[in-house]
Amino acid sequence: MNYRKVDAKLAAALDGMKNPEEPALSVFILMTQAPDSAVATFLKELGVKMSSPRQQILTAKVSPRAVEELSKQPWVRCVRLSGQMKMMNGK
Amino acid sequence: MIHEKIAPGLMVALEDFRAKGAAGLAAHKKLLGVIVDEDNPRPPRAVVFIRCEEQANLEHLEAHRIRVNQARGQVRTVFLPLANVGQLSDDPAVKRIIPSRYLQPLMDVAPGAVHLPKFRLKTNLSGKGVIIGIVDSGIDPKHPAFKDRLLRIWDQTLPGPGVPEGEYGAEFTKEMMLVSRDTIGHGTHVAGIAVGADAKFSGVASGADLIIVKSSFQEAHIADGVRYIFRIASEMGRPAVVNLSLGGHGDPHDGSDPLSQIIDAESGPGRIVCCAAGNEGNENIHAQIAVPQGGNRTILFHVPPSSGEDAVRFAALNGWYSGGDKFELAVRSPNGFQTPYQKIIAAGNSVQVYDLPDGRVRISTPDTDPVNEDHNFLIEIMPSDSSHLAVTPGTWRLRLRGVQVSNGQVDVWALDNSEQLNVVFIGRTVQDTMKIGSPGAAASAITVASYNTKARWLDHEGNTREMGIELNDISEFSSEGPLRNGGHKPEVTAPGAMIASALSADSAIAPAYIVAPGYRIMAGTSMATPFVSGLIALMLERDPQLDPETIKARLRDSSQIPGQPPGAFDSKWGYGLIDVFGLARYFESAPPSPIATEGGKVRIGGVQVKIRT
Repeated sequence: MNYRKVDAKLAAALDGMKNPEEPALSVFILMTQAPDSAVATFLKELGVKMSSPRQQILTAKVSPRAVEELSKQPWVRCVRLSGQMKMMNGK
Repeated sequence: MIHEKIAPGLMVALEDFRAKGAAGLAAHKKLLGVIVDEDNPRPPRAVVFIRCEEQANLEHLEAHRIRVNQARGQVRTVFLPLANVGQLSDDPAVKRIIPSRYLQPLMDVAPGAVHLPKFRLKTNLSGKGVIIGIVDSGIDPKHPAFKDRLLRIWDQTLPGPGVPEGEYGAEFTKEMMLVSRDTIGHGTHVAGIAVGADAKFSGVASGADLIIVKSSFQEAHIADGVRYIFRIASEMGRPAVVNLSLGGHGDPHDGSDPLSQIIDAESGPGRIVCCAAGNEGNENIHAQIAVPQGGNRTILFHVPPSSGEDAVRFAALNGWYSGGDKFELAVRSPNGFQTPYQKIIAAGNSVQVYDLPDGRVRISTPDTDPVNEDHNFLIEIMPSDSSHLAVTPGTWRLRLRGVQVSNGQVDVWALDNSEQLNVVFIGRTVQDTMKIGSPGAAASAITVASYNTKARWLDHEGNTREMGIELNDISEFSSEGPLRNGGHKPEVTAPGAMIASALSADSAIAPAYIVAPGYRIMAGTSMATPFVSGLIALMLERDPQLDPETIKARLRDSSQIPGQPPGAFDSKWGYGLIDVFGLARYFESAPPSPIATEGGKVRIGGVQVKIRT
């Protein structure tokens, strides 16, 4: 794992996970450039789908093992954990 | 008939009806929900509210021509012949019958406060041709306020094959949209403010169409929803504004988080995103401290006593500081136990776990963030073992030691697992600034603060209800900017309290908030945001190519903080309360932009013009 590319929240989430193969992490994958065909194939094998080839930020639900693989790729800028948001009412 | 179940006003109407027939109802028609057709032999009918058990099955009442409009809920609306009220009262599941009174509209208060009616009169705009996309808790697809204007729903919470933006959830069109439900009611209310069509509770852009994303509120799914709405709008060749009445504080508060970056990438001419500033104006969720070289400083935060379902099982701090600085940090528990100081861990796993007698503390201190090049740290506190169901209550301390300091400022936000924030900062480090997180921090987003236009209303039982808010002032709860990098947020202020809008029939709600059949009261920057989204739809109707910067400039130039000169910025108000009529000047001289090309021709203001190249 290249922890330089993993944010503090994702690092903490990875630390709490027991099964490295469980695709339970909702993440953003930030890439250095729009993916070419080789990158697209790599992502597909990891179970990451692109809705548009021009996007440099992808969303995916992946396993700790996939995060590790992604963090090692030179074209991955960083991987960030997706958090839970809430509605802005109730006051 | 069980008289005790029938509200006094309705009882009087029934007695007058019994004594004088339809003529006896003349005085009641305007006050109660009684319908008398002068030219129709049908017996008088009434709309009433009933109180009953949440799950009571009342379908059998149809046999008496008593139509209960909702399948469940403690308060439901009923349409019935007036003469059958007695039969309704006889049903053991029915606890109370209350007339549906005609009330004064409240959305007319909010629009009037910012001169929307004058703007409408002058411009005749309704948002027609524009799509408003709402990523929220869903929508009541049967609500009459949205009739024939609901284009699609992507329900991310239902099982299904998903859409190109994400292989999860189910997409619905036409009659199938009835499958999706808004059991929370937030999204329906938001949609009503933006586009609702109703004689009394009209939304801002009552001619615009809707695309709904019922979200799980997971950041990544919200991003997928934004992309989905813009793709569909693009395929239809129509401009769109996406409304995000949601937010969080797990980000750097500078717009460099992935959701904000996706919003920036997706925004452009005819593609606008409108976000809520947040409702933490009264909450001590942000602390700021300056740590000198070699010095130690402490930030205090409080975890309340808790138990049972409301137990605080998780408390977290999200901290950010300059990439040029280096700090070590430690956590001290209420009983004085402390973790070792943890430095930045530039290589390898940045997470260390410390088991203190008062709880398990997990600290993550990675090297600089690759996107904004600042340092981030995360502190998570959990019960120490299974015998402790809640985080140890009391005053916890975050201790910071300056190892290498050039800037020295540290900003920290409190997070926890509850709807109402339990974990808050205390002491001198509390700062009422920088409370606008993602996605309101997105550079291209129009971020909206809330203004109080109504403090008192009549509920459906005729009781006066009043909120302790200052009328005609900024809402105290409205979150303050600016961003951590100094960026000006929010942009503008719009009516957000108290607002009457569409009520989802599938949501549970306290009766005090119901103002009329199908309508309820709510407050928040969630409510101010769709007001501006609707306004942007009006602007896009006239000029579908308007980009975020132009819209921001026009909103800014049409806003003002009371008592301050035009153009003044305040971290709570932004550039001030929007004056919608002030926008009308942009529609007087400038012709609309081309909206479509057909064989070398463009359509301008409804006229087809040939282009010479």
